Amino acid sequence: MKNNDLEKVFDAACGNIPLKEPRDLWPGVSMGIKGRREQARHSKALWTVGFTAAAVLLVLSIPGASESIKNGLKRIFSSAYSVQLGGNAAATGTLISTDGELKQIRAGDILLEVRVTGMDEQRAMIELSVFYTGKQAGGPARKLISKPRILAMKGKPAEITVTDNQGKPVYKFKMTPTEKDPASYTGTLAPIPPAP
Amino acid sequence: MDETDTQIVDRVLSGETDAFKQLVSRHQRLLYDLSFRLTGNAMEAEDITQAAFIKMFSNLNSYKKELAFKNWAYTITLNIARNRLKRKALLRFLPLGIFSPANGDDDIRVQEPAEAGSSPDARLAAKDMRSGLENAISALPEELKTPFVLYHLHKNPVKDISETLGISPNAVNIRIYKARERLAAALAPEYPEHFN
Repeated sequence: MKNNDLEKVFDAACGNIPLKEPRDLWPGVSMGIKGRREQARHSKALWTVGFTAAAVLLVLSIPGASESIKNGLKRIFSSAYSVQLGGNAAATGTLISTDGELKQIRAGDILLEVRVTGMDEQRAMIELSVFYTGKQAGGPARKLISKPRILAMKGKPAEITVTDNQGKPVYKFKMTPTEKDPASYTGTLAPIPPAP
Repeated sequence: MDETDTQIVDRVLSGETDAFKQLVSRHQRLLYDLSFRLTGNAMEAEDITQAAFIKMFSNLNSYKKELAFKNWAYTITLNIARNRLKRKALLRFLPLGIFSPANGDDDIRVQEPAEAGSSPDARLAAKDMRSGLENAISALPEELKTPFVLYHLHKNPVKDISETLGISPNAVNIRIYKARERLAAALAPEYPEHFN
């Protein structure tokens, strides 16, 4: 039999097959939607609590402030970094930026913007902005969580510690802005394991 | 005039989440029928359809309005059903069958409703043929079964099926063609008057 004929045969035969009737699925769907919302609200609340407080209780330290600096700034920064936030897989790489250039590091829903600016022969300003970029009810969000700045000494490690509302460190940002070739610049952003 | 799916989606996105119930009520029958024909299990089909609606709700922000909501809904349902089928196929290879469904759950079938009209003999013959056809459809491989069901049972145009499955209309036609050939070959010995 030709397939064109078969089409007609199956059209007729399948016309007799009723669709399967489900029971009303809305109650189950509705419960599932509520469950998802609760879950999302819960995880969002943890971030919000942690980082809203972190913005207030930011601890800045400038180690090596009294050290004498011999190197000059060459207007190029190169920083190896490692980011692991909120249970996401660690993201690593090297951040190369020119003087004052804004660069981005993404770790899951967290977006870090880093700007390194040479101030004078001895000091460099490191500005860090931490954004939450996950989805919210009105669409994608871009919410600033904290925006610490630190005046660092060239050639010495600078450290920014972000803490939660209990004063417990959440993560550290480390950077050593030094001059010369890009390979001599290093930086890390490492999570601090929770205290036992 | 009836509200379109897109208008309902807009209402849900603007915060009227209960309006989603209308989308469930409109599409649950077709999605459930497809899930049932893919899994052959009423409980699993319900579960897949509910999971699909929950996923649709969660991802409503990413729904592109140039795509018919029904096709989008089909695609999501199919993805969930396919993943479950894959998982099941994998579980069969596990030793001791420790994760296999217990108590023959796979064999649950929906009771067919009795039909009105025509003589008892004709009804019996029609039902017999229908039952043979349904069994033959259920034995088709998934890549042929889905386009066949969407075309002959759900009466979707080839263009929509192509959009749902993400394959060309020509590929859809070929799969439907092959499905018909296989079904005719399987049914011809028992129903020569229809398929020879």
